Amino acid sequence: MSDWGERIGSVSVDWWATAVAGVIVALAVAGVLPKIPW
Amino acid sequence: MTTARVGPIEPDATADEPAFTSRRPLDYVPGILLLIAVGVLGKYAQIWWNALAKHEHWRVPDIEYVLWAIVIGLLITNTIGLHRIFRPGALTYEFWLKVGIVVLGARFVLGDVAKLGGLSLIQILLDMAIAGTVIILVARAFGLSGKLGSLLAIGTSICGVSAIVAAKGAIRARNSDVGYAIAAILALGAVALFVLPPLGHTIGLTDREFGLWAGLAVDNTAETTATGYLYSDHAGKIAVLVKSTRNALIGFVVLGFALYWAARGHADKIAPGAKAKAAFIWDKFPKFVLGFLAVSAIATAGWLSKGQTANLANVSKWAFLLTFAGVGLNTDIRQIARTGWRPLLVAVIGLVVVASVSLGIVLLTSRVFHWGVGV
Repeated sequence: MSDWGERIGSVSVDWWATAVAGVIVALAVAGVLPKIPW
Repeated sequence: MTTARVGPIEPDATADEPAFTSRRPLDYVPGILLLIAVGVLGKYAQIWWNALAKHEHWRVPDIEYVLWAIVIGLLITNTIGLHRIFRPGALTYEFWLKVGIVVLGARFVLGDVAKLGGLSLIQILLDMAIAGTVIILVARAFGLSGKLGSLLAIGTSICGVSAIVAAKGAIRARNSDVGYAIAAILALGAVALFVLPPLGHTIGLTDREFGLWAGLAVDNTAETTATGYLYSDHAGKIAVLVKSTRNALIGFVVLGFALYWAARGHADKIAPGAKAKAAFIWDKFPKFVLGFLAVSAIATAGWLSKGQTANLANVSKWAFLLTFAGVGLNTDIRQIARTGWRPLLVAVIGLVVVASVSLGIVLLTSRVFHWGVGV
């Protein structure tokens, strides 16, 4: 568990942000991202 | 002779705080909820303010949600204070900023990125050369240490806090100098946020011109984004692109300063050879810029429908809203005031120099040379 935590912690915020944004964009490309209101 | 330093540099506790400060996911929940609450309150404050002004027939300026979110955050931190239970989540604002920037790539086709990025690259290099030299000279005239002068020049010309933290280990700067430089850059970001948009309106800048100006002149990416979006959505978009180009140059500038101080025996030597220098630059390179380019490539390939592009634009706006709330919540005015007047004065002179030089460059290139006016 701590090894897993350490591995996650060693990923920089830049890569985390890119990964999370990547998932959102992938959903949009697949056309399944729900409508986001503003 | 010491060995090369190409590994990641640990920010110290007194300086820039990392976005992720805890290994336990639950620790982030209260702070993230607070970011959402402050952001949503900021968004509705704009609507309520406008409705109230209309109802009472007041002639008042439309205060953007960007400013509301920052001011509400500032009020909380500087009056009742930010309880430590909220700190891990409130510090994630840099993460939301980067998510917002990567997703914003969907609003740009690669051709525009190349055109605007190339144009701003020339402007950035000019700006850095002129403003960086002036700041180093002013810092020397005020009796600040050479390294503090270097840090202020790096912070003002490139990208504020992350550039300073990246440079700190490379030029072996003192912690007190790093703390000073960061406080000064943060204070400047706050000043720019309140000063630049009204100035831009007074001068009569277009959205594009203001976006370029904010992207060139405001130091910290979160404040740059806020300053741009305070003017207009389009200005915000341009400011983010120009600032990302500036961020991409961190490695080169830090390497330059590291070589300068190493040559004087005041910093660790960089290992010889192009490979070690390339590794140094890659280490400092902001990786989210690659994400932005990848998303922009997807938009260019036409893989996104119109509806989904609009959806992504809204995701980006929500991510930025959390960032603006975080900027306010993490700005402790007392801490900035404790820095002392000298570095602040040098930083204020730096802001005036950078703002004037970059405004001159923007006006010259857009109104005299008509470069990239269609973007």
